[in-house]
Amino acid sequence: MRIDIKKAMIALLVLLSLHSCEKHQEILFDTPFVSISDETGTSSTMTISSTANNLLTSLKVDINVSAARFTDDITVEYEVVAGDGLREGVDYVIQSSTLSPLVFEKGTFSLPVRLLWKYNAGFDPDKDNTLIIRLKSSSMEDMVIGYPGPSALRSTFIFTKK
Amino acid sequence: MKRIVSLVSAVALLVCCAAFTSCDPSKKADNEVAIRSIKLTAELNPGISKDITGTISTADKTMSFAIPVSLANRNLIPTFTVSDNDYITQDGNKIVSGESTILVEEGKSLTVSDDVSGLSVTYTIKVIDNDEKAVLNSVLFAAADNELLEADVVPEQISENMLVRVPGNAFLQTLVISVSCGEGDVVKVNGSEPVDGKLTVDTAFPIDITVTDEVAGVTSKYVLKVGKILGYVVSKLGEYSKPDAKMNDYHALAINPVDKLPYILFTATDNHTTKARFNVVKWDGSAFSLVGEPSFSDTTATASTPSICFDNNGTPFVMYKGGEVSSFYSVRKLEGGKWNRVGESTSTVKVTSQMIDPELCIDAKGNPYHYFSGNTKNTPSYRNTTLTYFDSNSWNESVVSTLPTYGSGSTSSSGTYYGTRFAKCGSDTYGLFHYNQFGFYIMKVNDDRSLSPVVENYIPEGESYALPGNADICADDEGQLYVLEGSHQAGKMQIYKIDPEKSSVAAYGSPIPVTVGSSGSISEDLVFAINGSDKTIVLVKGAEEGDLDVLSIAIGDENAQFAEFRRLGESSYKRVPHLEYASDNTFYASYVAYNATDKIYWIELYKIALEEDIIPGE
Repeated sequence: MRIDIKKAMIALLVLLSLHSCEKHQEILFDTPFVSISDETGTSSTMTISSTANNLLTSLKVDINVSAARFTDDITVEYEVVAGDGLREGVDYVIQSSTLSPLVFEKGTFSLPVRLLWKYNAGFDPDKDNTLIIRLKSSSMEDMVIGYPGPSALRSTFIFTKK
Repeated sequence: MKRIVSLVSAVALLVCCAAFTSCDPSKKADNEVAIRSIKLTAELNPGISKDITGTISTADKTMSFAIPVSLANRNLIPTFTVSDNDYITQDGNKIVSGESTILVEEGKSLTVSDDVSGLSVTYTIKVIDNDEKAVLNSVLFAAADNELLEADVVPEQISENMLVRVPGNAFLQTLVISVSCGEGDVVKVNGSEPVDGKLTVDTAFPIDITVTDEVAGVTSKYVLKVGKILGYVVSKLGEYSKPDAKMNDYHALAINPVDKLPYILFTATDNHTTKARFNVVKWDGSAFSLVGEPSFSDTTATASTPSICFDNNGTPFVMYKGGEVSSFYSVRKLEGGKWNRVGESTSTVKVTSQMIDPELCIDAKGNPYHYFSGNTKNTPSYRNTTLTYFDSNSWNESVVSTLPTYGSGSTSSSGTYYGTRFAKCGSDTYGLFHYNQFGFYIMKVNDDRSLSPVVENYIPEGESYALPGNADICADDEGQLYVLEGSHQAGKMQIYKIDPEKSSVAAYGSPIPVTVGSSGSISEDLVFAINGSDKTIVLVKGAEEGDLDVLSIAIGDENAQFAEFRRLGESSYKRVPHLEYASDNTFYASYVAYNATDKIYWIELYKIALEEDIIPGE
């Protein structure tokens, strides 16, 4: 009788674990989301040397959506928030063709956002020299901004000029 | 019976009424018969991946469809709109939009008829084969569209990642790009459709080009980066003068094949000696450092006429006249930090002062050899090309019989050996030989040090013989040889390109004007070297300029045109400057600088290298 209880418990555990695996997969594959990262897809921050001139940095915005749902173009908007130490055109320039909004045509899952960093003789290290690229919205209503989850990782990218 | 007749009549009346009703008197002739639109949707036609919209030409009465070539079944369901009261038939069969099939083949027809006016028009179907590929055919920055460009700029080939280079003034600038794509494809540059294939782009950023074949639902993506055509930059690396010694005017430069660094052999008279002795320093990338023991040559005779070279393992060898024995050459090799002599003197007789200083070479086995002419009458080597080589135990010499010999020409002194320059070409070694009253000879040095002719007795056009002064030889990575030769009649130096396989000689690049002195010799000193990879030729020329003897440098373009000589260094120079190609697009030039007032010598070393490459996005 003891052995039977053990077997029953093991079977129950297996069932429970299988059940949880299925649920996890469901979230991963069915929730459309958009993320932003560096070109390698590994980081959400980058430091720019204040002495750099004409330094090109390239970010990538990725959408994760099943082909079945990707029937129309998907438009993703982002905003650029510059600290008081940085000025567009003086410290950085965003390639015009990669400005917000980004339009993902069917079959395109990744688009770049490119910034050219300029040398600014008037650079003030005591000011806020961060530049935040923040994903804002998607034309696909249920598309999650950033990775699915409460932290919404990869929804922003932060440059810091030092 | 009456009842039956009445019933039939009533039915007939009803039928007539019904018939009149169906004729719908509200229908009015619009005097138009037209098809407004027609397409073949992917939804209704499983073989099609994307909707195909027909192009209707009312003028030509044609209807064109771009059909994927792989689509076998051309019976397709059209969706169309027509003008009022119109309908479509094919082969007499009425076609219902979104339901019936039509055969979409070249030459088939569709007839649009108006059932009120009775008008009809027939359209001929035209099929445009769709290749189902999205192809970028060309990318161009045309000089005609870009005033910053003097010539069209195109990538070497169309590929996913392309790179073009533009001149410095156009680098990072806004340029007009021209693109073309396959028939039926749509090209976009940075997300915008070009107008007439042209669009203005900011080349500070990578350029995204997409080509879409909408029929096939295929998109090809390309990225084009615009870099700069790199130029060579001359920079002074440093000056060297030996501490506690008085520098002299002899020096030689060579590149170690292993560490790729420049080594300089020079003479200096130490404070406690009266005769100049040899030393070797190398530039280690940031500073000069002494190689082996200092002042290694003896002081029996002042050392002169230096030569430095390396074996394949990077072991340095030096050769010089004097030192141990006056008027004889000695060879030393660096072993364990010591400059050990290689045998005794390299010849059995005193050697002449040749017009081209002897160069030391190392054979494949690591044994040194060189050519000389003897200065002792009635000996075989007297004024003749004489090979001397070390065979692991001793020096051996033999007169080269396959080249001109003393007195072999029209005068008693013609055939006098003037000297040899060498070039390494892969594992092969070639020698450039000169003789009094003869043209130049290029000989391949065989493994046994025998010589095979490549070019024999070549006399530059308009001359009666070749001049040994300034003569030099280099090789590129493709096995072509380059020779610098003088023409005193024309007052110029000229580079010749030699194909050893064909033994052909052809003038290469622009001539370099020089001054011919009263003795018929060329006044300027000239040395050259070639980047075997990109074929860039660098020239260093020394000439009198007021009270100074100054050096200037010229860098040839892709056609070896030398547009401009720029001053190299500020000081006067003594004796012949040296110039060598190292690796990685880097040359080194060195010379002995001289202050005539204070009678001070020192060595200056320069680097000639491609500027740093900056490609947007890399």
